[in-house]
Amino acid sequence: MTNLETLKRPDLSTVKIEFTQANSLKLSGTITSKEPDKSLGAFFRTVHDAAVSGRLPEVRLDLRGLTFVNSSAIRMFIDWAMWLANEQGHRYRLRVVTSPQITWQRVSFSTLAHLAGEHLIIERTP
Amino acid sequence: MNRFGRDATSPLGRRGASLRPGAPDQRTVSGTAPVGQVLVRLMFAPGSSTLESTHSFLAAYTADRLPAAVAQRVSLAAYELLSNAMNYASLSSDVVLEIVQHTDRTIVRTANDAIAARIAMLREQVDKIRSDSEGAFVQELKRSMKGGHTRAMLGLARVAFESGLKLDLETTGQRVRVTAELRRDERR
Repeated sequence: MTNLETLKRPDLSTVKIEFTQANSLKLSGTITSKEPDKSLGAFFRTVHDAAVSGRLPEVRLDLRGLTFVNSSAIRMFIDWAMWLANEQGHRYRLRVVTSPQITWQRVSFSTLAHLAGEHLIIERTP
Repeated sequence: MNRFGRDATSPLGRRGASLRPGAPDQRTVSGTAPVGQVLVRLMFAPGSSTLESTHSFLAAYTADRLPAAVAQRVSLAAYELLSNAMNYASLSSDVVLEIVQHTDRTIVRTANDAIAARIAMLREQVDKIRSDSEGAFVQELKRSMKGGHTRAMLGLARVAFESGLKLDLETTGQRVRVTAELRRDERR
């Protein structure tokens, strides 16, 4: 069984990345760098690839601590949803835990959920 | 040291940051609106990578000066307007960012020089967002999904749809000013 915790996490000054439980990833802080896809986006891709190769049923992404993201960061979440939608191999569920109090999460993921398909699950938890 | 007695090599801009809290705003978008209080005025050299440090400063500053719900929205607008300006500004002049407080509204605005083609593209986008902010936001999300090298204007769409600020654009020759306005009665 693939253990996502063995994956190397990028060292970022404004974002904290934690594995809180099996196959559960938590991000907190802010994403304001110009090209977050080069570091954090690349990490998301390794998580996706590991989830596919390990045939994980679900990956949980807790974003409730992520208080501000720029548009480049939103595109990274879009990318992840698209990798999942276009995956020809094993498709896992990507459960994104969001906060109803944080505007960007409420607005962006409500819209993304409609566009991304059934494997993306948006959970709203305070 | 620059003429304000500040370190000209501060992280807020190689040419120095001009902070004059409380200074009356003598210039307005249309030239006829009431004078407001300039909370922050920052000046950047085009191409300088200052977004992260600037956001850290403005997030803290607006949280201290404005109600929480307003600060979050204004902070987003400041980031996205500045990011847009830095991406499209000509090298011929600095990029200026201001946050101005009026009695009935808070305004975030940027000013920079740009080539005519960029200004036309920006005007088209702002008009689209003003007429249907939700539709523009969804369209920009879809464009982002297509990937490739298309530079989506998701940031400006977020300012309008996500934060609920009203966008406007004015030009004088090569100079383009983008404003995002939050009226007091629209705060939530």
